[in-house]
Amino acid sequence: MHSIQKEQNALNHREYKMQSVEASVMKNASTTEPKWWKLDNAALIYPSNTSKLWPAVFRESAYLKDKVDPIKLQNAVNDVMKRFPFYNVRVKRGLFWYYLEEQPAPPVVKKEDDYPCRRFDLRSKKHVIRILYYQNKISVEVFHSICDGKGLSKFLTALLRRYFELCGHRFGDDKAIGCFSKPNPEEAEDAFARYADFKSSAQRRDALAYQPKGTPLAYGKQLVFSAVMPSDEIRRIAKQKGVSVNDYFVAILMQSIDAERRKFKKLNKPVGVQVPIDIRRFFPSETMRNFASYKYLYMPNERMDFDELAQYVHAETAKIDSAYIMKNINSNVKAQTSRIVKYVPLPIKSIGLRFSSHMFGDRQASTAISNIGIIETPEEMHDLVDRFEFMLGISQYNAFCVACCSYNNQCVLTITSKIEESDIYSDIMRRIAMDGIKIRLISNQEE
Amino acid sequence: MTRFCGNCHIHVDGERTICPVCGRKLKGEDGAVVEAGKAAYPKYEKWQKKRKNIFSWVSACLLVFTLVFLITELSVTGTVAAGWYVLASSALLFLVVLWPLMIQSNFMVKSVVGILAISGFLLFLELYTHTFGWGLAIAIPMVLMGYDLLLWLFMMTRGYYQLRTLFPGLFIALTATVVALLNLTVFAASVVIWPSIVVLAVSWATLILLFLFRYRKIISGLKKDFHT
Repeated sequence: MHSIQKEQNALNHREYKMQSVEASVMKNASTTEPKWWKLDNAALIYPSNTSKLWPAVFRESAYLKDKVDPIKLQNAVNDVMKRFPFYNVRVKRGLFWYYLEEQPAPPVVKKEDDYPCRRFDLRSKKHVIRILYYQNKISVEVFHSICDGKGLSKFLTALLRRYFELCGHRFGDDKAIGCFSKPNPEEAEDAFARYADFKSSAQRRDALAYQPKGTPLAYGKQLVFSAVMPSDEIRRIAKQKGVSVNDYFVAILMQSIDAERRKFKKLNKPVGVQVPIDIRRFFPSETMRNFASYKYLYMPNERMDFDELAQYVHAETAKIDSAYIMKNINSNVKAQTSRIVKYVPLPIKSIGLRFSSHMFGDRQASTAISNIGIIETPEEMHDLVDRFEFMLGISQYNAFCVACCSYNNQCVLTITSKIEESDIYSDIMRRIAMDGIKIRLISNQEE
Repeated sequence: MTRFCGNCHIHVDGERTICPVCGRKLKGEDGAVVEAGKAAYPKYEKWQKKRKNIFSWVSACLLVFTLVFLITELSVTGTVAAGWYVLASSALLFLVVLWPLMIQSNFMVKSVVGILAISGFLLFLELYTHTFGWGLAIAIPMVLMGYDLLLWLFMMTRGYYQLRTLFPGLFIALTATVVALLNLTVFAASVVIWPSIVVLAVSWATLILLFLFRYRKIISGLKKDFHT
């Protein structure tokens, strides 16, 4: 009798919780004319290309020290979305381009119950941002047309700040944007258009790279392997080798993929790694939308030991400067603003964009590694958040992608895979561990 | 608890006994306690349920279509003629397309069931149409040959020398032996024998050559399967 009463109470409580979540969303529904934004230059490629093979979705998660309260999280989302209306959007088709349109209500937070980075259906009138919670984890998944990794980390820290404020905590410094602070118009700008000077342009096509193959997982499924490592140890090892942490990981990836390539005797194509570059480092901007470029790094054919390879990668990444970035920006913006391209109807343009993605996209790299570095939060938040995790969704041609971020002296290297075989990942872990780094692995692989 | 994988050199949280990366058994415990309620990922029951639902609905539609066809034919003509073809085709569609899509990862079972289903369908066609001499003598050996070559190509290019690829190879060789024996003894006078002989030779030769030249890789693959 007692247990039935307990169950009934739990059911009533859950019903009340859901009602209050829906009520709070409806209360925040906007009745005014929706705002809209043009897609930034880097975002244009994604809506035309998104498919079950390439969802163009990525995720950032924060592992809190306590369990997440969904009601407070929803209230935090409601408040934060007012501050960042360009995230409270869906992607709509225009006559010539896709664009972002503000949604009348903020997204409803959901309990995570599916594989990460699932595709957004652009035809449905839904948000292209998901806010999920699971036990002590808050995750934000976004369609790449809205923002890049840096933009999302700013949004996530702002969301966390508001969430903790609603939990009764107070924050002193400004490392996370407060949701009642004055909006900066630069946050929603297309920074590519601001900086393009059309004086130089880049060569578009690099070599086609070796692609590790394997048994594909079922549609929608993706494996995640998160290696949690001490940041100071990683930095020490990288410093010993005279390279940056990112160069160290790139060299590790190259060696592991090369070992696989040699095992299958596929030596006709080089090992390539796509390294996204945060342009904000070279051209200051407060934008929270896409403002990233990339560089393809190819492993030389001659055999090298690890230290030589790391030095080679370091020398290659040192070549990335503002002139290199400017060339990339110019060639992309030039293509977008060309009169011929501008007035071509969207369905035809989409075919061209799909073709250009096929020609100049992921096939030029064996994998991609995106490192957003140290995530900055107010000092007080270090006691409330255990670690952050950054994760890329599966890509069309690459069997796996790698993402990395650091927080609280914990560096999290996350591999997302669309194949069953995991020999390369095992090799990556082994190589890192051989340098004396203790790895704690967290995975969604079922036993 | 946290356990250790000696192959990947990683510490794995939770109640796992097998390394999520390499599939080998995890060893020992380092005493670190992972707090309850701090699992990183859900169990994806919704996803599994959705897949099962789609599979059940498509299978049910196939079953209903087959039954409706059989009942209609029986009530109109009084006998079942074309109905047998529909029934056999539905069974083939289920076993070769729908079911493998459902159990996405089990390559070994999929291959064996696929070979049996296609061979059974061909045998049915041969027997039901009374056009003897092409099914068991030519078509089934050719299917076995195709499967065998595909399997070896897959193994050689990808290097998967594990139970899931070795067992279907052995199964093909054994099936080819049975087919060849049947053609050589029972139907020797009425059918062409060379396709069965060729398949028999090719399937056993590939198996033996593989064991001769890839012995180490096979042993290491099998070790992976049995977590030693």
